[in-house]
Amino acid sequence: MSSVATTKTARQEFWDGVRDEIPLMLGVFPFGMVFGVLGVEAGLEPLVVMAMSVIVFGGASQVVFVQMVGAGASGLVITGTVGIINLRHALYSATLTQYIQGLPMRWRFVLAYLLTDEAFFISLNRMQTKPPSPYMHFHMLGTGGLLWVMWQIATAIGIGLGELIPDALNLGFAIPLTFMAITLPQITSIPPLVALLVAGTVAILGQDLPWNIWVITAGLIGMIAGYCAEMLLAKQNRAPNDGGQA
Amino acid sequence: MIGSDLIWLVMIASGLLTFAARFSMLGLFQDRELPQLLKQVLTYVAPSVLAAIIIPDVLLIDGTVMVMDNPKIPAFLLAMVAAALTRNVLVTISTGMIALWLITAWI
Repeated sequence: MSSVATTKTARQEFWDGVRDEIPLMLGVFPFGMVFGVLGVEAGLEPLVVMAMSVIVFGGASQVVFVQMVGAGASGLVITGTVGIINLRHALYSATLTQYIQGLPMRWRFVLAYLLTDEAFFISLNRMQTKPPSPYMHFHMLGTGGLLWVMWQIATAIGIGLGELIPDALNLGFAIPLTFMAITLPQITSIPPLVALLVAGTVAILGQDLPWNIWVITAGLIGMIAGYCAEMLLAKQNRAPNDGGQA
Repeated sequence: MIGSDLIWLVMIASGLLTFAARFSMLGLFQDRELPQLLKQVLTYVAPSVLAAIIIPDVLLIDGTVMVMDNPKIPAFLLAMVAAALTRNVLVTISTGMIALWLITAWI
């Protein structure tokens, strides 16, 4: 009993995930409500709006979905746009798989379903900064599980309250704030700053591209820019005086 | 406007595409290591992908870049200061939202 526990149990990892995810709810919950309101405003039945939060489970893409329905877009264009907006999750998928080598497929199905921006980055932080454990996937079950439950409740409240939530509250602004709170601690050197600035610039310049392709394009170009900056800096630090310190 | 039967089809197709992206690399690389170059590029996933979402969200109003008369910008900058000082998600979001409400109420 007196020995120091070196690895956390599955249960502890799960509850750590839930706990780490709680602060994010201040951003996620209003966003889910905004989605519920927009869905009803676009003329969709409450059941359809609710089902979308279960079937798609991707905030930004759900908002674009209902906006496009409201604007009279075709089903094919809507599906394609949602698919392209959510293509960034393939990058999260590639990142996550490095930390859960050998985990069985049934787990991979569950984690893939729960793989959202706000859950993934919180669990990634745990995987990168705390000692590895064979139960790290339970952390993601905790972050993703809490997010899932709260997203459904927030959607339902948004559907119920509808226009009672004034537009002037600008609740959608909670999302860039949430993402900034996740990103800022990562900007500790030049290369991630380059990645951020390049991605942001491409995202702005690419706004008129069809099918919201700017999200994934900006993300990819930003990542490559960050990597190039890292390589250039490493080269510069090596080159000037044959490896000696200045 | 999409009919009520078609909407379910569109929704399920959208859900499947989304799941496919999320499952893709988790399914392909169960036991194998990712290529080294991909691993290194992926270390920049957070600043890149999140910036691609954040920056248009803050700078655009109704699809146009607005630098002047955009209350989101000062509110966001204040939230950044709060984030840098406290490293606290709750404080960051609250600061940004309250700042935005005050600024929009003012002008």
